[in-house]
Amino acid sequence: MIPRTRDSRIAAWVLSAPLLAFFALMLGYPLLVGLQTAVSRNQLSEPIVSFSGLENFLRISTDPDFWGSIGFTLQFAFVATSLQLVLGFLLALVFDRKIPAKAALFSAVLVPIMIAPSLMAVMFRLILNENIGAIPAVFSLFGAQVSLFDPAKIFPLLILLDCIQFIPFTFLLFYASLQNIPDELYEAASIDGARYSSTIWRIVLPILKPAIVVVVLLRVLESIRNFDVIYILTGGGPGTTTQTVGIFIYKTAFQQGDFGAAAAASVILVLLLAPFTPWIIKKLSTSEKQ
Amino acid sequence: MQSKKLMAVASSLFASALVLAGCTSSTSSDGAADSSGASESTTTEATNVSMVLWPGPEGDAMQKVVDYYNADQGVADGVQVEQILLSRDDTFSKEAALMKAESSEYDIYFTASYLIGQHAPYLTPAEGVDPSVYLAASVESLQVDGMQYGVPLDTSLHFMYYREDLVETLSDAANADLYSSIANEVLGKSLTPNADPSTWTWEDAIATAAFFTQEYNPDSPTKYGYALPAKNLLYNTMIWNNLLWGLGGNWVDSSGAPAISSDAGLEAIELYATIYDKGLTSPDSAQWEYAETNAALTTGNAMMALQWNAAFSELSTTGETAGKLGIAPPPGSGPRTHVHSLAVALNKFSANQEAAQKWLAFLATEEAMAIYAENGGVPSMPGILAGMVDTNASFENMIEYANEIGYSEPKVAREFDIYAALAEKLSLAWLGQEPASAAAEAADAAMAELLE
Amino acid sequence: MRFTKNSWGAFAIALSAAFLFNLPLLGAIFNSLRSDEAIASGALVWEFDAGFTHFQNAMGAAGYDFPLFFRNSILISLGAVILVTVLAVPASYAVVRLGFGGPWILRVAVALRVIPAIFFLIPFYLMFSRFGLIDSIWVLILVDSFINLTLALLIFANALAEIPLEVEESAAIDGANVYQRLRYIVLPLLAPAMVSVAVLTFLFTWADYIFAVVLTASDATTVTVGAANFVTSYGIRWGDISAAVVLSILPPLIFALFAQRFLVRGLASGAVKG
Repeated sequence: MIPRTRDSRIAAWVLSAPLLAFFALMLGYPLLVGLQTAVSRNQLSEPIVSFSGLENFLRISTDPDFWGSIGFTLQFAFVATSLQLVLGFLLALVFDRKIPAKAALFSAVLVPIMIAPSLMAVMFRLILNENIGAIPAVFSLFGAQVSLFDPAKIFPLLILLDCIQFIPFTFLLFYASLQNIPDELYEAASIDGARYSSTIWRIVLPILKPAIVVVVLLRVLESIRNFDVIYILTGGGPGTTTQTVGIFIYKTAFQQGDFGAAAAASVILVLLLAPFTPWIIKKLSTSEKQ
Repeated sequence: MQSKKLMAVASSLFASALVLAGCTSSTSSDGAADSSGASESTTTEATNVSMVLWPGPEGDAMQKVVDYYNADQGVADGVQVEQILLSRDDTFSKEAALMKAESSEYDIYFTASYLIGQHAPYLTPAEGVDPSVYLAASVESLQVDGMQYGVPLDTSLHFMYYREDLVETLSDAANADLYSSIANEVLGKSLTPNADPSTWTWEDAIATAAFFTQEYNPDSPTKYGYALPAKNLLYNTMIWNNLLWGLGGNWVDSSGAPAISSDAGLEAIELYATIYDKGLTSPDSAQWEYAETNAALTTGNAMMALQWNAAFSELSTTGETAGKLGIAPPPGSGPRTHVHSLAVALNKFSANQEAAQKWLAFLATEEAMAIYAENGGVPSMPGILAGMVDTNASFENMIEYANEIGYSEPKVAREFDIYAALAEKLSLAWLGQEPASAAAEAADAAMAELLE
Repeated sequence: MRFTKNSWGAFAIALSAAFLFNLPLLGAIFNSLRSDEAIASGALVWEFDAGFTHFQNAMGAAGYDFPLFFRNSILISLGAVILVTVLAVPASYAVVRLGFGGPWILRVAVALRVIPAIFFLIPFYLMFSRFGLIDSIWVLILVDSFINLTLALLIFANALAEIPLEVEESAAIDGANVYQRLRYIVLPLLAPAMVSVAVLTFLFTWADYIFAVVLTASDATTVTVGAANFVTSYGIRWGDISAAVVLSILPPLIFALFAQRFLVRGLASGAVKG
C-alpha cells in the first residue's frame, strides 16, 4: 500500500482542485436552478413563476405516461446494453489479432460514433425508407418486400439501430482494456493446455470485470437518456409505445412548455437511480484493492 | 479527518453556488424592468434590430428583404436589421428557453399561428398591420384577444394532391365494374367512379385509393393508393383536423367542451383507420410525415395524399408526379382546410421596441412582400399571390381555399400542446390498433386539461 | 501466436462489422452523389450529380457558412479533449491512488450521467448569458467537457485499477514523490486509456447537438447544427444533408486514425515486467 504521508494528502488536494472547481462552477448553479425549477410552477404559458412545492412531483409521479416511458426505457436499455456488451466484447477479441488493414478497419468501425446522433437519425430515415431508401431497395432485388417501420417490428428495428450506433463504443473500451493484458498470460495458458475460449472465459474476463462494469454503467445510463434516433424516427409513437423517458421529458419541456414538471421528472429519475449507484461504485472500488 | 475537510469544502462550494444563484435571480427579475426602461439609441446612430427566422426558403427570401431595407428605407428609419437563422427543428424550443429567461438577445421572434397563443404573453403587439392586404384567415390566425401579435409571412394550408393521369382513367367505362366491387370490399357499398376530385366525399377518395392499390387491383400502376402521414407528430394532427372539420366537427362544441368523441370525430378517426387497416397505404406510414409522403408520391408508390401546399414545388417537378399533379380541396363540406401562417413578432423584452416596430411596419407592406415573393417566399397577400400564378400554379388554389374553405383552430394558450396531445392519443387509433371511441375519450380528457 | 499470423477469419468478421456499421455512411455517400431527381424517384435510380452540387452546398454554396462550422467544431472538440484530460487524469489518480474524498467524486460523476441533459440546458443558458459567453466556442468547450467528464473519470479510474501497485511502490521506495510517480510511471501506463478518452471525447463533442443548438446562435454554430438547416419547410434536402454528413466525419476520422496508432499493445506490458 502506498504510504499516506502528509505530502500525499496535500498532493491529493492539488491534483483534484481543478476538477472540483470545475464541478462547482458547472454543477453547483445548474443544480440549484434545476431544483428551484422543480418546485416551481414554471410554464411557458404562464409568465409568472411561483413556488408550488411538490405539485410537479405529484403530477409526474401520478402520470401513467411517465411510468410507461420508464418501463419502455428499461426494457430498451436492458436488451440494447446486453447485446452491445456481448457483441462489443466479441468484436474486440476479433480485433485483438493480427489482421490485414487493421488500422483502416478499426477506424471504419468507429465511424458511427463520429456521426452526430441527430444526423444518424436522418440518415436512417433516408436509407430505411420504403420508397427512396437503399436498404428496402436491396431487399427487393432479392425479391423480398420489407416494411421496416411496421409498428409490430419497431422495437427490434430500434434495437438494431442502437447497436449500429453504439457497439463501436463498447468495442473501443473493451479493446483498450485488452491491450493491458500481456501476451505472456495467453502463452502461459496455452502451454498449460488451455484452449483459447476457456482462456478468455477463465482468465481474461475476470481481469476485465471492472471494464465490463464501466461499460454497462455508461451504456445503461446513456440508454436512459437515449433521444435522437427514436425521437426523429418515431416521435415516441405510435401513441406512446416507443416513448423513452428522455423523449417524455423533452416533450414536457419543449412541447408542453412545462419546465417545472420537466425538472421534477429529471429529479425523480435521479432519485430512482440513486440507490444503485453505491453498489456500482463499490464494484469499481473493490477492483482497485488488488 | 478526511470527512471533516470534505464537509468544509462542500459547504463552501454550496455557499458560492448560492451566491451565484442569488446574483442571477435578482438579475432576471430586474430584466423586465431594465429592458422597458432602457434608453433608445440616439437618432444619429442606426439601431440594430435582430430577427430570428427559419433557414431554408423563408430565410433565403427574407434576407433579400432585409438587404433592401437596410440599403433603402432602413437608412431613413435609422434602423439596420440583422437576420439570425436558427436550425429549423429547434427554433421554437430555443425561443421557448429565451422567452422563459426574459431574454433581450433577439428583438424579433419567429412565430406561427399555432404558437401565437403560447407566445403572446412574451410579445408586444405589432403596430402598422393593415388586415385588408392579407388573406383574412392568415391575419386573423395571428390575433390573440383581438390584438395583432404576428406579422404574417408564409401561409400554409392543405391540398388533396392526386395523380391526374390516373384519376382521369376513372371515367373509362371499362373500369366501373372493378371500381364498384372494390368499393364494396373496402367500404361495404358499391360506388360509381367519380373522376372529379373537387366533388369527392371521403368515400369517393377511399374507393379511388383502393382502386389504385395493387392488393385490390393488380393492374394498378401504383402499389398503394394513399400516402398517409400517421406518425405521432403534431403537424400530422393539423392534417387529420381537415377530416374532422370536413365532417362538420371541431375541437370543441358550442359550449366549449372537447368534442373529439362527437360523431364527426369518431368518423374522422375511423376513416384513417380504414385507410391503414385495409392496406390502402404502406404499413410504414405509421411513421410517416411530410418528407415520406412526398417520397411515396414522387416514386409512384402512391397516387393521392392530403398534404401541405408547400410540397407543390417538389411534387410538380420531380419523379412520377411531375406534370401529372392535380390539386383538389380536402374532401368533405364546409370549412375543411387548416390554415396557419408563419410570422414574426416583437419580443416584449427587446430593448429596441421603436426601431423594431418600424421594421415590422415595413414588412407589413406589399412592397416588402413583393421582394419576399420574388425570392421564393409565399406571402399571405392575395394581391401578390395572384400575380405569381405563372411561377406557381398552386397559388390560385391557395387563395381560393384560404378564402372559401379555410379554418383556424381555436386560439387558446395551449393550442400547440393540443396538437401534440391529439397526435399522441389518437395515433394508435389512426392505425386501427385501438378503438376509436377509447382514443377519442382519452383525447377529450387531455384536451380538457389543456383548455383550463 | 496471436500476433504473427494473419487471421483471415477475424478479418472477415471485422470487415462485415465495418460494413454493417457504415451503412448509414455508405447511404450518405451514395445519396450525396445523386441528383435530387434521382433521389426522389427511388433508391435504385442512378443519375450522377456531375456538378457535385450537394457537396458545394454543404461547403457553403447554399448560403450556410460551413467552413466556419467546421472550424468551430474542430476547435470545440479539441478544446474539450484537452480540458477533460487535464481535469480528469490528476483527479482520478488522487481518488484511486491517494484515496481522496472516498467514493464521493465518482458518485457525483455517476449521478451526473443520470441527469437528463434538459435539466442543465436552461440553467447553463442563464449562467453563460450573464457572462456574455453565449455563442462563443468557449461555452461549448466548458459544457462538452462537463458532459464527458464522467466518462473520463470512470475510464481512468478503471485503468488505474488495472495498473499494479508494485510499480509505484518501488518508485516510492526509490524516493519519487507523488507528482514524479504520476508523471513518469503512471502516465505512460495510462496511454491506452488516455487515447480512448481523447477519441471518445472528441467524437461525442463533435456529435453533440442539443447543447450546441441552445447555446450558440450564429458565430459558434457547429457542423451538426449547420447540417440540420437542410431540413426545410419545402422538404428535406436529402442530397445536401448526405453530403454534409460525409464531410462531417472527415475531421473525427482523421483524429481517430491518428489516435489509433497510439493504441498499440505492448505499451503497458513492458512496465510490469520491470
